[in-house]
Amino acid sequence: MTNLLEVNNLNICFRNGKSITQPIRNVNFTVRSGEILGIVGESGCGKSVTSLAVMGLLPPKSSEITKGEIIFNEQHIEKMSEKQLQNIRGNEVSMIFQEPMTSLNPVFTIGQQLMEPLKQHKSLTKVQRKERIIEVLKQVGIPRAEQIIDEYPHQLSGGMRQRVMISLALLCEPKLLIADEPTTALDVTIQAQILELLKRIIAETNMSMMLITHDLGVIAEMCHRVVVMYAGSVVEEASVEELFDNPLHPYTKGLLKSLPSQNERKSALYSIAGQVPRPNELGQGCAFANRCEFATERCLTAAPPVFSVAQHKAKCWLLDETVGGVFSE
Amino acid sequence: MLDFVVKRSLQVIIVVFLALTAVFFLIRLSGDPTALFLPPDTSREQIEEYREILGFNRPLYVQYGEFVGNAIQGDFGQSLRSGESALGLVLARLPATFQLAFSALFISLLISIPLGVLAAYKRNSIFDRIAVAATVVGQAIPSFWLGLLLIYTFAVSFSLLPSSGGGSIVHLILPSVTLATYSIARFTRFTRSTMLDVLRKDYIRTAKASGAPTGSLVLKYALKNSLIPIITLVALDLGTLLGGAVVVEMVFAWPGVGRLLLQSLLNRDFPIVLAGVFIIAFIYSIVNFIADILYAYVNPQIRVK
Repeated sequence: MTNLLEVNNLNICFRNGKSITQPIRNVNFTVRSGEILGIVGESGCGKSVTSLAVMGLLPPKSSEITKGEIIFNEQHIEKMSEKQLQNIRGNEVSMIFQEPMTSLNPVFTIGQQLMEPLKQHKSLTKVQRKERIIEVLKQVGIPRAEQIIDEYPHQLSGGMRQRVMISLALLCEPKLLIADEPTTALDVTIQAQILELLKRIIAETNMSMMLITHDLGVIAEMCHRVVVMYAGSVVEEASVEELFDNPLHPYTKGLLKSLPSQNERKSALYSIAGQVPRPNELGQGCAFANRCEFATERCLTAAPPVFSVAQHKAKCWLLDETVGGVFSE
Repeated sequence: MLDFVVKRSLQVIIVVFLALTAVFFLIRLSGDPTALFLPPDTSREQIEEYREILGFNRPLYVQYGEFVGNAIQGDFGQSLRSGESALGLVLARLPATFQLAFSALFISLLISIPLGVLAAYKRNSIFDRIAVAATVVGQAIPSFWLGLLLIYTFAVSFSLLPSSGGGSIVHLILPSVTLATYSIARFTRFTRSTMLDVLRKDYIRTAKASGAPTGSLVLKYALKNSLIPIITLVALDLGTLLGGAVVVEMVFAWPGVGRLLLQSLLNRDFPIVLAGVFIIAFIYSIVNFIADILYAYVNPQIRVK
């Protein structure tokens, strides 16, 4: 499989007056064509910032890509002008956001909002545009699509709005769909429906998807490969089966251990002790060292490189050559 | 829709009625005006006689009852001074007031909305900072002083424009600019802050993520949302412009309702004051009614089914 998206050594800085924080440090991952890549991590670990960077949607004045590259379909996103980005957004890369309730414009009808990307990116007649919109709305499972296009967002339920958001993203048949916590704001039954829908669409088309979530259940259900992020960097990367069967990084192990199990009834659930360091608190060593039960002297003084064991990569000293890990960068 | 109109019409009647009642009693607190209309050497008997004719010697509630009874029939009585129909006098001044208020409103909208949008779009730029500073000045300048300054500059020093009076477009320029200054400042600030707020919304990010160009992002997606609160503010201000342009009307001797009201108040010409309050309260309510309809037009969430 070819790589549709390559993020190489990405570093992003945020500036607020004189203070500079670096929420993204040396992030590397790839999305292959046709696959669903899951990005998992807790709030504030940089998942959303990374996805916004791929869309070229980081606020231009207060943020900056200080190092690294984002190569989408052999084009450098980080070097593109706003004009070039506009041609790509919604056309080759689309994004679904977390909040369906506020992500649609309240004063325009669904039809008017869906019309826009088609006007922007495709040369279709008005009738063709309408046909395409109805087609996509039906594809995402919206009943009475012909009427919905004349309705306003507030007339639809959360699940329906998220379906509309998905259809907005699919209109121009993008190569990459970024879904940033697409089901977090929805209730559980609707969540399952939306995930099922996304899975079906990816299977039907040759689209790739970057699925950002903090829900390991969603990852297990949906993805081919997983990237685990912690405090602004990628700590582990593996196929879904591999990650769940044989997690290598202590953070991933902790995450999996924190999942409540159906079979046991314990009084307290497991949690990883300590707190995620803020970007400005990161020192020389491994970002996870202060919470890691296996941390050694080396973890506190030197940041671990990426070691790979077969197709499985993790950023942890525990995997060094002594246990058969291969230094991979 | 009919339901809405009927409901709102009832509200208009209540508002107007309450305004008239309040003014009726408040104005009586200023005392009996009879003596003011008679020469200083009038005897006490003559004053009493005149008071009898005007009806001011009767108990207040009787006077109020009579006033309400007549007002319902559209009769606000005659001016105590000139004997002309009070309502007629106010209505005769109405076109001049409308002319002034609407031209001021037109000028302020024409300037403030583009200015506010641009300032929000170019937030923290030099342009934005100058615009914000200018709005502070615009809101702080007292209109009588600005009026005098404009008269001094354009009428006295350069003799370009007339300093007072009404009747032509040329006469309209200085008073409407004076009146508009405050509104321009107010609307610009408001448009700017509303736009800043809207530009941060999730749906703007959605539009951006679908490749919408900056122009349509700001002028189409954001502006229509910003218009909702702007319409409310403009409606409230139009009410003020129509009823409260007293200072500007005085400075420029503009023959509008505001000046008539102030003069009548000073003369204690009660019928004219009440007729004026009636007209202003009525217009104010109607303007708000129109704003509500416009509001529903831009905001589908409150559209009446």
